[in-house]
Amino acid sequence: MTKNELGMEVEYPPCRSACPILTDVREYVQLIAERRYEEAFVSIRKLNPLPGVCGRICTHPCEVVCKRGQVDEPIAIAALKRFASDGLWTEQYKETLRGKSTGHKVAVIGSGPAGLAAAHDLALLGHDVTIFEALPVLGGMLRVGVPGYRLPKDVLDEEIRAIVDLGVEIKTGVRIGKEMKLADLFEQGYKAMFVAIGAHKDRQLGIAGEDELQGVISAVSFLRQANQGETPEVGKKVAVIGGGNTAIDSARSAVRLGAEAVHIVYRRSRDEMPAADEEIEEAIHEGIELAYLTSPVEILGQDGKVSALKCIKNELSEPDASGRRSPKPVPGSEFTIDVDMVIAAIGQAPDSSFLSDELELSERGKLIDVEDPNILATARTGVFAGGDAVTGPATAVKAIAGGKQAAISIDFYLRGEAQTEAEPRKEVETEKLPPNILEKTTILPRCGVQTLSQDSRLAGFDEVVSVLTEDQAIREARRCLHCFMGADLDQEQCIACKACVKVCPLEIPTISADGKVDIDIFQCQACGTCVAECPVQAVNVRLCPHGHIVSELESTLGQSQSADSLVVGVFSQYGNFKADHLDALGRDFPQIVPVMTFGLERVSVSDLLRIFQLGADAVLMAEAPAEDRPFSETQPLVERRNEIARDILDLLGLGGDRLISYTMPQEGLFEATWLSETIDGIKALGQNPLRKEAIAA
Amino acid sequence: MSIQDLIEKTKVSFCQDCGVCTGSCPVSRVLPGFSPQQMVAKYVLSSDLGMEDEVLGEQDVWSCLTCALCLQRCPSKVEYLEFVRGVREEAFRAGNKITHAHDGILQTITQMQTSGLPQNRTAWAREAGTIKEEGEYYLFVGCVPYFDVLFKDMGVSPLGSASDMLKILNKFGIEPVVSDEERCCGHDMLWSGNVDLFKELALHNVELIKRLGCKKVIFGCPEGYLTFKEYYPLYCTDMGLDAVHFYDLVYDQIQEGTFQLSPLEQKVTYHDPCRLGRMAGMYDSPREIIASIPGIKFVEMERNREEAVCCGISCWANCSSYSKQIQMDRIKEAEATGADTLITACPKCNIHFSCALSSAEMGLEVKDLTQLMASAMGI
Ligand SMILES: Cc1cc2nc3c(=O)[nH]c(=O)nc-3n(C[C@H](O)[C@H](O)[C@H](O)COP(=O)(O)OP(=O)(O)OC[C@H]3O[C@@H](n4cnc5c(N)ncnc54)[C@H](O)[C@@H]3O)c2cc1C
Repeated sequence: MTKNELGMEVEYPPCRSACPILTDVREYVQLIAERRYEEAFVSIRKLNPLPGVCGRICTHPCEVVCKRGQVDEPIAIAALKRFASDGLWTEQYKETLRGKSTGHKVAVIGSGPAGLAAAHDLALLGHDVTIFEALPVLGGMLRVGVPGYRLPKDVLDEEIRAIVDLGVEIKTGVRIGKEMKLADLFEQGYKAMFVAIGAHKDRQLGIAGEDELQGVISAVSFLRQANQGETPEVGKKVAVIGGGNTAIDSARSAVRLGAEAVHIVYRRSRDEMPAADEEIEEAIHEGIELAYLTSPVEILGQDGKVSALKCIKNELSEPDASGRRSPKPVPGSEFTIDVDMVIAAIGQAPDSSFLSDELELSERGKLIDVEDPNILATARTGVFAGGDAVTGPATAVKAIAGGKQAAISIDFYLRGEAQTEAEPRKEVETEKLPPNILEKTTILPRCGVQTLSQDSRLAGFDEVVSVLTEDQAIREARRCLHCFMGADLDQEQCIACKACVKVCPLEIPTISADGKVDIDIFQCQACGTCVAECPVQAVNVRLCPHGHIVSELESTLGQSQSADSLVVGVFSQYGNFKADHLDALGRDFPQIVPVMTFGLERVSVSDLLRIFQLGADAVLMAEAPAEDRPFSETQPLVERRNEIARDILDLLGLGGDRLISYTMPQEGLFEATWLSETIDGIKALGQNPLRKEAIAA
Repeated sequence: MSIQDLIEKTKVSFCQDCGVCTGSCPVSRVLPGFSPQQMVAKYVLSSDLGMEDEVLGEQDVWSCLTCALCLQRCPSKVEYLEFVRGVREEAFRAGNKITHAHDGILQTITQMQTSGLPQNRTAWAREAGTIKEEGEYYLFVGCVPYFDVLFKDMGVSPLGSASDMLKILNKFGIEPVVSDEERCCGHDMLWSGNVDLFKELALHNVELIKRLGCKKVIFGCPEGYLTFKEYYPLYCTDMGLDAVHFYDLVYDQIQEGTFQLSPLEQKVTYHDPCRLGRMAGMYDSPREIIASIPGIKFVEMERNREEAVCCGISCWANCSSYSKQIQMDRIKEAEATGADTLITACPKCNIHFSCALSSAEMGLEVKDLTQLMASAMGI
């Protein structure tokens, strides 16, 4: 349980809890499903100044814990973030929250994601921020580490520009500790600083040949050159040593720079490989060879140049106490690979030597020490640190989290206020869904990704993975199972009538022997069937909550007074339509006032009558095509409710034929000829006599 | 009416704080903190302090069942029911909202009727029996056509009772007038504080029935009967119409021996609806009707007649776990008599008990008195 802005206890869905910056994943996924892309973008952007970056390269811990993953595959959350961030609508976004200038100068050292996020948040808090960056370019590892085929430079440029536009000053080519000391910065009037220098020093292989032979290069240097548009000399046959994303990026970059054969040499097996699965797949696809259970022993040379790599095969030990299986060389299994280049990608550490006289470094001598990882203050007053420099090589989103935390801590510090201890984040485990729920949940395949052809890939550094199409994005977003948006039962109100027990398509509500109903809010997928059925409104859901249709109409129907007929269209969001279709509806059928809802099973008979009471001449109940509905078994129930409403309309003398239910076509909201005829039919029924009264009210 | 005037008029100031009302109140037993006596005290105090507005927003005024059990026992003869009705009027005016069961659909239906829709609510009558366009008797059908649609799935058949009633009337030689223009009797609006709407409905119905030339209005529903008899005259001067309860008509016919009843092998008990019993004073006719059926065994519940307990909810307000407790309590009382059937004389009591029974496993059946009668008459 976490407290929300109002201090109420709320349960975060697993995706949100897993995100280092607590991105409201469920919210933006939902907004995409509702075709409200701009709002989806704002939802992401207000927390994260690098949405396009994260949409492409985030390691998405959210997907690992996604409830949908228990059913089939997790929601493609990162891909949806990219969809929301890539559209034209993002240009509308203007940061509006910039506070009044506080007059405090803050120095941010390093322009990686940690530094950028801190600069962004500090600027919004009204502080005057200057970023000092050693390299001539901004972005840290996002620019000089991650290759352009995964993260195009212009995406990064755009997002950095928006941060700079907040009034952040930039000083590139300044290595703090060397050209200028922290003390100098204090002297220049900087009241606080954030040290986010990343981890740019490669670990040495520690084998013979490494130092003296030409053709041995560290991954960081190699990628830095490749990423800054230099064309480093690349061998014909390359060995990359390591198993992380840096190794894969080096290998895939080498292939693009002309290497004919690339081997990745990794000491454990594929299962232990830290690189992301999809990255390994892409590498294999691009023709890269993977040598598992292999360690380099010596780099052999000829004429001072690399000529081969001598390796030894390993076997894995039994897992130790921590569950890790360590590689053990198999005696006599040495062999050589012919190569003319070796890239060492076995891990990085911060290049902190310049700062060692001014800051405390960890025992291992490399990482910058902070006193509390949730506050990020160093032992030196006014100096904060975060990102890879503190954690060791980690991920972009963790670095962003560090930057955001630092901004909060620095703000407290500058205002001279004591900072309440931040609660340490707990690892949350996603509750396991019981087998009957897994079985009853409709399988919806995860969206595929569109990638470049092999030829176009290898020809350069063009982005490999395409953004989702609108259609793909909507479908993907709709796969969300709405953790914790589901049925919230008011026990005091509940009369244990079992209506919910009878109608739930997932059979979630249970009733105990002593007549107490229980609905598991995590298992519930918020279809709202029970909400519309409960005779005492003891249950509600947070997805399209009870009464939302009527209250939406109350505010919109008034504006449609002049139309000669007034038809309310209740459209299921599960229909297969796009933003364009909605536009067309408004253009071609202005007499239809649309309301959107996630599934018609949440529409009660009372809702239907109220729509007529509000003056509608007719109501269209537009159901999604069967294959798009997550809960197809509720169909008879929806029809039964329509029938009840029709019977009542008949009794009231309005006529049941004013309630028209239909199934949307395979694509779009309606079939135009059918709808035109239907509208004519409605006109023939005459105006709803209650309309005048509704308008008067 | 100001709360102060209301206190005067309903003799609330005579309250001796004896607590008999709270001790009798079925709601006080189950809903912590609810007490008629304290509610009275609260309003008296707030009126003394000129702070009525603060308390008018509170929900407890809707928790009262208006079942009149406390009224029955109050030694000071405080007119508690009128007091609650008055407070509700003020609370409604102040915008205090009731949580209505069934998402307020019944209130919506009433409101839509009042907007002058040309209803189509008498088709069943043309099929069930003989009716007239004009005549001495008007049959006030009430909400049952709507109930029938809404609560069919619960296994009740309010329209079935209405049809039986019409058929029995026809047997007695009465061919009543029924009308599509009839609107809700307004009972629920009256007790929900919406007195303006109630007035509108009352005036409309009276005008309609007079226009059709009728003199006597027959009711099968206790609420309609009571409302017409006791509350319409508050707003409609010289009505010139007599409210007749169907069961009184039947009772007369039984006494005259006009018809033959076939035996029914059943053991039944009877639940007095608040509106029919305590509020309209009719205890005997239903019992006489049951007793006239040969073969039937009638047993009283422990709390009967003046002491009968409400079915747990009135005017669809605030149905909750507390209502359910009251209902289950009453059902268990009925079961304890050894009866196989619980006879009710009110469509709402019938719906409420059927609802409670639908989730309880009990060998008890709920049945409407008219339908019981009809089976005995071979209808
Ligand atoms: C090849 C590669 C691929 C990666 N792929 C992914 C991925 O797919 N997904 C993911 O989430 N993460 C990935 N990462 C990790 C991610 O890039 C880092 O975790 C993240 O960039 C760390 O952010 P940071 O701000 O702490 O440091 P950095 O991004 O490293 O930025 C530090 C900045 O500080 C500057 N600097 C250093 N010293 C000084 C100084 N003394 N004075 C001034 N400036 C200085 C550096 O030049 C640099 O610009 C990858 C890393 C690498 C190397």
